[in-house]
Amino acid sequence: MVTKEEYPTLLEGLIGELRRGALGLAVLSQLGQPEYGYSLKQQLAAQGMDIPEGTLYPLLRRLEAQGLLESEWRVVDEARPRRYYRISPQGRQALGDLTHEWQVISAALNSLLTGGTK
Amino acid sequence: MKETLIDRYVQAVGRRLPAKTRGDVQLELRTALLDAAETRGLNPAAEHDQPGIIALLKEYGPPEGMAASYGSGNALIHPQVMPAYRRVLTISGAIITLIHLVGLMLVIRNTGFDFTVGDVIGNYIKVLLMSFGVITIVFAVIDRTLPDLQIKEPEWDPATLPALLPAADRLDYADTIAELITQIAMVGVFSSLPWDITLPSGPSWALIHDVLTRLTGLLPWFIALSAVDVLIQALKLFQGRWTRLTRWATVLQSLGSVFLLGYASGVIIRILQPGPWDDRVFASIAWTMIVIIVITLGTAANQVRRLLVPKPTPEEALGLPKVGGQ
Repeated sequence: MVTKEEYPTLLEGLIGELRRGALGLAVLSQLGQPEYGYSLKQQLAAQGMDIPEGTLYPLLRRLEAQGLLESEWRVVDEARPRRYYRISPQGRQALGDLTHEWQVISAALNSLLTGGTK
Repeated sequence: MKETLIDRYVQAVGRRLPAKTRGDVQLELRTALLDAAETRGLNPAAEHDQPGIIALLKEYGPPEGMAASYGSGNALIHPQVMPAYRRVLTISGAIITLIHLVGLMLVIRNTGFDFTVGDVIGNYIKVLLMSFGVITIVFAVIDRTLPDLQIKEPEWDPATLPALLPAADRLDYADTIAELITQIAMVGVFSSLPWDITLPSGPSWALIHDVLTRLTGLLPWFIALSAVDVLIQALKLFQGRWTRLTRWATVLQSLGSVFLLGYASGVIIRILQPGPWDDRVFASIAWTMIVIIVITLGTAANQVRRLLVPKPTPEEALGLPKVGGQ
C-alpha cells in the first residue's frame, strides 16, 4: 500500500507505462515526410504527445534498427548536420497493423470505461 | 570555437556509449541540444546564457541516464549503477596500490632488491585483478536482483561536467601504471646497487671493475631520472590525462635519459677499448645504446609534436564523424 506521499510517483510510473506502448505508433504516424529529431519532437508536442529527448532519440534508433524507419544525414548548416528519419515500406505496413490494433484496444477500453463497474 | 557545456554534456554521454555508435549519437545529440538552445534564444557560448543552458541540460537529465536510454539492456553493469561501480573500483584500486607501494618500500629498505620485490609486484597484480572481478560480480548481481535499488547520487549539476578531453590527451591507464611500476622497480634496483660482487683477478676483469666503479658514480643520476619518471606517471594518474606540464616533464626526462645513456655508453667503450675484446663487442654496445636513444628521442619528439599542435575545435575533440560532405 503506497502512502499519500508516494502516490504521485506511483501515478507517474503508471502513466509512463500506459504511454510507452503508444510512442512507437505516434512516431511512425508522423514520419510520412522526413523529419529530424528536434522537429519531430516539436511536431508531436504540438499535438499533445510530448516525448522527452532521452526517450525520443533512442526510440528513433530502435525503430531504425528494426527496419521500420530509414535515415540519412543532411547538412544545411555545417556546424549542425541533421539526421532525417522517414518511415520505411516495412514501417508503413507496421503502422497500418498497429493502427488497427490500437483502434481495437481503444474501442474495447472505451466500452469498459464507459460501461462502469458491474 | 570555445567549448560549451553542451559539448561537455555530449562528451559525458559519449563516454558511456559503445564506440560503434558513439560518434553518430553524439553528433545527433549535439545538434538537438543546439536546436533546443536556439529555440529558447540561448547562445551556448555566452556567459549570461549559462543558467538557461544548465536548465536545458537538466531537462535532458544526467549523462548516465541519457546513455542508458540508448543501451541495449545487455550490459553487465548498467549505466545507472556505473558511477557507484566506478567509485568503488577507484577507491579499492587506490587502497590496494597504496598498501603495495608501502610494502614495496619496506621490502627494499629492509632486504634490498631481491626476489621479494617481484613477489610484491606479482601479488599486487593478482589482488588488483581479484578485487576487480569480485566488485564486478557483486555489482552485476545487485544490478539484476535489486532493480529498484536507488543509489542516492547528489543532485546532478551540469556546471560540474568535466572539460573536453581530446583523444590525444587521454591516458592509456594500463601503459601508465605499467611504466609507474617499472620505474619504481628501477629505483629499487638502482638504490640497492652496487651489489657485493667479487670479480676474478686478471687484467680484463680489472677493466670491468673500472667500468662498474664509474657506472656506480652515475647511479644517483639514474635514480633521479627514474624518480622523476615515477612522479610524472603519478601526476598523470592523479590528473587523469596528459597536460602541458606532464608533456614538458616527459620531454626533459627523456632528454636527460638520452644524455646519461650516451655518456654511460661512452664511458663503457672508452674504458674497455684497451682490453682483449673484439670490435664487434663495442659495435653491439654502441648499436644497443643507439636503438635505446632513438626510441627515447622518438618519445620526446612525439611529446613536442603534441605540444605544438593547435588546440582542437570542440567537434575535433569530441571526435564527431564527418557526414554529408562536411
